[in-house]
Amino acid sequence: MITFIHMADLHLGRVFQTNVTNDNHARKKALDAVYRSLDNAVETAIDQQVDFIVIAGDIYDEAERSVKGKYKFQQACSRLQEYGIHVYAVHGNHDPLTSSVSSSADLPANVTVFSAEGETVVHTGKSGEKAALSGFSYPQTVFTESPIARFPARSNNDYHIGILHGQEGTLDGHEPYAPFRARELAALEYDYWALGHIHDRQVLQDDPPIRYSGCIQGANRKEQGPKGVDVVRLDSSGAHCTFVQTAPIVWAEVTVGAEDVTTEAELISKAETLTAERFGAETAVFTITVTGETALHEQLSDIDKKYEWIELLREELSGDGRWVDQVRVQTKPVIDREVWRNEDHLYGDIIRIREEITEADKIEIIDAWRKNAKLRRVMRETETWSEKEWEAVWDEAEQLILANLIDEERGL
Amino acid sequence: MRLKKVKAHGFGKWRDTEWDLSADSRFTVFLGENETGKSSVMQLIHAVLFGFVKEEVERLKPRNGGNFGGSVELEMDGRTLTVERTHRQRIRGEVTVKYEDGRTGGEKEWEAILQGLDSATFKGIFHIDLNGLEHLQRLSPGEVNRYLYDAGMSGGQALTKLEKKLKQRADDYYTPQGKVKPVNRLAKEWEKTESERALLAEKLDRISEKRRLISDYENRLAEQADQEDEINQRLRFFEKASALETIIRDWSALNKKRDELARKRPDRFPVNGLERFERWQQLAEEKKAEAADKQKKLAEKKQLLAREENLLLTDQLRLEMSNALEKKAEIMRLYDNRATLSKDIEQLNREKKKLLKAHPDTSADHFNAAVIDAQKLQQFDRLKNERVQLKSKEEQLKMKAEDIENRVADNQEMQEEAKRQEKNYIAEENRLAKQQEKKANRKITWILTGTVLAAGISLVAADLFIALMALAAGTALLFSAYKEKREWLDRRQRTEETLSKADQQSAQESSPPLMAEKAINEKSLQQEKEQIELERERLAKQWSEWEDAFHNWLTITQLPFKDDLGWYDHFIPNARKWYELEDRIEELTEDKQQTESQIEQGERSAKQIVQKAGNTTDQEDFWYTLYKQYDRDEERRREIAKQQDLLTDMIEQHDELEEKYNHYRAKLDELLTYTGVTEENRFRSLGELEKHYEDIDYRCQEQEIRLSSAIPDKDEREKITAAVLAEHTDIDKEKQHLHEQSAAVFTEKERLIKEKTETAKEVETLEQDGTYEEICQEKKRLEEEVNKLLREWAVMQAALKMIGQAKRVYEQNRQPAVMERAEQLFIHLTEGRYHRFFAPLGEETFYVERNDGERFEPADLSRGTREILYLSLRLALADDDAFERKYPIIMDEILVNIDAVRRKKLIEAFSMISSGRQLLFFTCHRNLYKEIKNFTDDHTLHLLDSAVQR
Repeated sequence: MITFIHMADLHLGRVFQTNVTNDNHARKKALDAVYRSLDNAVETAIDQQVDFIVIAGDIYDEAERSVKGKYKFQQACSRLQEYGIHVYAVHGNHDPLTSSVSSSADLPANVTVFSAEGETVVHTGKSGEKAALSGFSYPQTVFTESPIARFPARSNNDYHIGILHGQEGTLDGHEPYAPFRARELAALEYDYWALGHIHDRQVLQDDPPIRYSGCIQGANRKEQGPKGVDVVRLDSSGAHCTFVQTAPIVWAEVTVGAEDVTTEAELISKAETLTAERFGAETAVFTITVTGETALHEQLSDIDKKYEWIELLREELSGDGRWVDQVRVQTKPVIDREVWRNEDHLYGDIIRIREEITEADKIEIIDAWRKNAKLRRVMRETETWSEKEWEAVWDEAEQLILANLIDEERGL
Repeated sequence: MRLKKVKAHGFGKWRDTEWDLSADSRFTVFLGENETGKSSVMQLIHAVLFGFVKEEVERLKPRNGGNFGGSVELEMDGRTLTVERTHRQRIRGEVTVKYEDGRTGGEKEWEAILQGLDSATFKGIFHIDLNGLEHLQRLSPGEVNRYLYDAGMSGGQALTKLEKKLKQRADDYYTPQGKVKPVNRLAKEWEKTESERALLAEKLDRISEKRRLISDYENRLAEQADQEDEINQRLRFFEKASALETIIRDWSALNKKRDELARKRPDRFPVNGLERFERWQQLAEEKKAEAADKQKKLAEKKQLLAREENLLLTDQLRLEMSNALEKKAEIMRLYDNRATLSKDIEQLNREKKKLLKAHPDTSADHFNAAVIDAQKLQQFDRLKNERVQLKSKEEQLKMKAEDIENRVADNQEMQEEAKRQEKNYIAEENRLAKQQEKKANRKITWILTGTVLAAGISLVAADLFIALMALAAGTALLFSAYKEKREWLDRRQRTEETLSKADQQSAQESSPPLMAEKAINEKSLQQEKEQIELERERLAKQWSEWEDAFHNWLTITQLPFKDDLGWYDHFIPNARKWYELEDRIEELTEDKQQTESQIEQGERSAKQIVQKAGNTTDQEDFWYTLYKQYDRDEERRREIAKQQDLLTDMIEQHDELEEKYNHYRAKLDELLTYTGVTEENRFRSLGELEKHYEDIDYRCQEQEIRLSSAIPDKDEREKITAAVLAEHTDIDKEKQHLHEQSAAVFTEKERLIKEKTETAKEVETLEQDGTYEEICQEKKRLEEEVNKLLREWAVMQAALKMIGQAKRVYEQNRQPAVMERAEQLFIHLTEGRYHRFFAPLGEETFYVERNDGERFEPADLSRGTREILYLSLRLALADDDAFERKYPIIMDEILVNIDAVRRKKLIEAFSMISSGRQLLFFTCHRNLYKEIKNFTDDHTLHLLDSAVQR
């Protein structure tokens, strides 16, 4: 029997993509999170007396600059060395071998870093069984070749493990580095494929397992849910995987239905109850989405009150190790939009106009912020807003106008 | 929509008033002067349809309470209904809709019926007043355009308001040129953070270079350390040589000297011979000198003793002195006695003076002269008694004489008082009788008058009987009064008689019994007076005898004459005391003289002895001199005895010193014999030589020990010794050279360490402090913040776009019809003087074109024309198809500024749009009504208040 930990995408040195770090406490926690996750992984390895740890790439977030990451990684490896636990690592697109940080020169002897050409090493476990490990490190940031050729056929050892940092061809959302197909890997008949690069935990094949263990700590609102490592046991009956959460902070989204509430205070109270139930004592950074057809819609969309209210909600729900990242109001008025759409009045006009919004309108808005050189630079560095995001903007604008018109008329 | 009836329950000045508008006239005119309630009617219609306006509630509320509100019956969408609004709780009031079939509804129902028509739109389009026109004129053309949209669209004003607000909000977030707007500020902050990050990133990128540098520094440091070791070794050699140089050189010189001296040493010389020789010789000399000194002192001492013995007193004189000194105590007591006596005499004299002071009118002579013994004192006492008796007798006589004088005077006064009392009583009784008589007279007069009157009246008023009765009663009364008067008259006459008698009596001296008594008294008194006169003569004789006796006593006693005998009482005891004092003083003076002669005798014998001993007795304290002489002699005798003892001791000491000198001389000779020399000088020079050798030898050995302990290794010692003694070596120079080398190496090492430390620290900081990650986190936060705000901003921008689009929709789809209609009206009203009217899309103004092709903006037109222009616009808007319901148009004094010709045209224009629509004119101008009347019969007139009566 051989036991090991499969982890990937440590991205040491990566920062949280949120403005909750405005709060000092939150900032400290955020900066520390990934290191704590690493420590937790090390403690898990020691606790469970594993034979070794496999790291499937992207140990560091920035090739050259994750010096603190390097320092912490060295410490972690030294601690593992004290317990005789070996580390087998490959480098990924974030920390290719060309970077000085990726140099294994300063790492303790218990760390094996695979070469760019690919190699296979054999580890003899505590039980005396032998496991062959095959893998390769990225020679440079961009590596778009098929990785399959770098992996040999299954050896005669008790077990054979593949370590690969790359993109399964059918998945979206990440750069197509080292593209491969799951069946190509399956064809090599290894006992376990430790994959890296995709930050969500994913199982491409159950048996023998071909798995992404996901990143060890979420850093933005796309990386929701618990993050950690897989503890794998290989024996004659096959592979047994257990997920262990090591990430101290969870990213999440909480949806609050506002259908059944009539006042803002009720809504806040409902949101508080929901988040308390959801997180308990867990530390979290989360987005609140308020949805539903509600009588509160106009109030929540009122230009005078909207942002004030959002801030209030943010303040009320933050605290006790929880921080509200974003508040999204996606409520609907209690009217029949379809009926209005076909009517010959201003509301109808607004609904029709919203539906005729074009790319040009979007570009016009973008141009307005591009006029400011500083802002242009900021926006160049941040992720482009998705179409879905823009649709949400248009919807919100429409709701803003309608709600305010209705409100105004009621006020008369 | 048509209004059929407007009814006020209570509204402004109106109460339970109804206006019937159901006649299907083209023009409905409300004519009334100012303050007749025109505005209230318009406000009532507006309030019922759209609710009360907060600002007007207080003004329009019925003064005396009661139902506040009204109702409007109207026809709409083919049905008739009544809308009633009363003001209860809500500001807008509570509305009720009543249908013909009896159904009713509330606010919601009514809102549904109005289909979104709001108060603002209604006012903007269907209510045209002068203010509205003026307001329109004051606006810029751009504003006018907006006004048209606002007025033309349901919710349009709200849209414009929202647009403004959004624009402002969006600008509050961000403007491309902004600096302090949140987004701009964040962007700036981001840029700052980014440049910090880039700077740090650059450093991080060089970290491996830095690491290489560190290992380079380490190698070089190792080289430096080797070099340093070698220099230090050499330096230590020279340091030792330098430190031992003095010792080595000293040792070398001493060694040479020792060899030299060894050759000159004698064969035999006593141990420490020279020291011993010197010591003994010194001791011998000392003893010799001391013996000589002692001898000299002995001679001196002997001489001194002889001198002292000569100065001693003879034994005879010593005995005398001793006796005199014993007597001195006796004489001292005599001194004290003498002083006491003097003091007592003084005291007695002071008492005498006190006695003199007690009698200031006398002198010491009086005291000395007075002769008062026991006999004379007895005589004085007797004289004093006699005088007292005489005085007493004199007093008695005086009192008796006064008593007689008093009794004579009393006798006279007693008679006169008795007469005066009797006369007074009679006069009083006479006065009382006179008064009562007068009273009785008045009473009679009254009774007479009363009776006549009573009788008369009775006779006239009653009958005779009663008159008679009255007369009878009157007569009875008169009778009693008369009787009374008589009595008092008698009494007066009686008293007057008595009075005149009394006066006659007083004219005579006295009554006879009184006179007799007086005479007896006077005789007795005369006898008593004579007796007293006799006694007085006797007393005067006695006084004369007493005075003679007294003068005689004064002569005998030699005392002065004093009137007051008390003076003698006081003086006599004092005079006796005076004699006693005189006697005592005499006694004491005698004692004193005796004492003084004893003292003189004692002193004289003492002074003789002093003189004998050779001292003068001038000084007062010759007793002290005597004492001193005696004591000094005693002292001298003791001293001589002591000095003689000392002299014996000194002789013994001298002999002992002589003996010691001889002992040391023998020892010196022994030393010379041992060395084999005879001369002391020779012995001494040999001793010096031996001593020098020993000294050098000792020092040489000492230096050898020092060297071996400093450098235990023999080879090294020899090397260093050789190096020091070698002629060409300059140790200091060598050392300096090595020091310089060492300093250079040290500096270099320091520099390398510093640089290595700095670099290592830099690397360590970069590795461990996480600043880079902090900055990245901050940068990310700012990006998120910007994104968040920008998203909010984008929503507002999107909304603004949509609002803009909604307006364009209006311009394209609705405005043209309105504008076309307005143009037609304007052309018609200006009789073709202007022929075009348009608002270009995208421009915020509109133009009118005159028939000669010239274009004007509204501001360039005359006021009348401009009003026509705006009226055309308003009418066109009101008549727009968008409002299918054909709401009534209310016109409030709008034609006053327009000339008659155009007014006529306007009325025609109104007529044109009035088909199927109510036109309500509110005016105070009868002319306008006439013009309408002239134009068409199809009108209804509602007169308000007094307007009609004119």
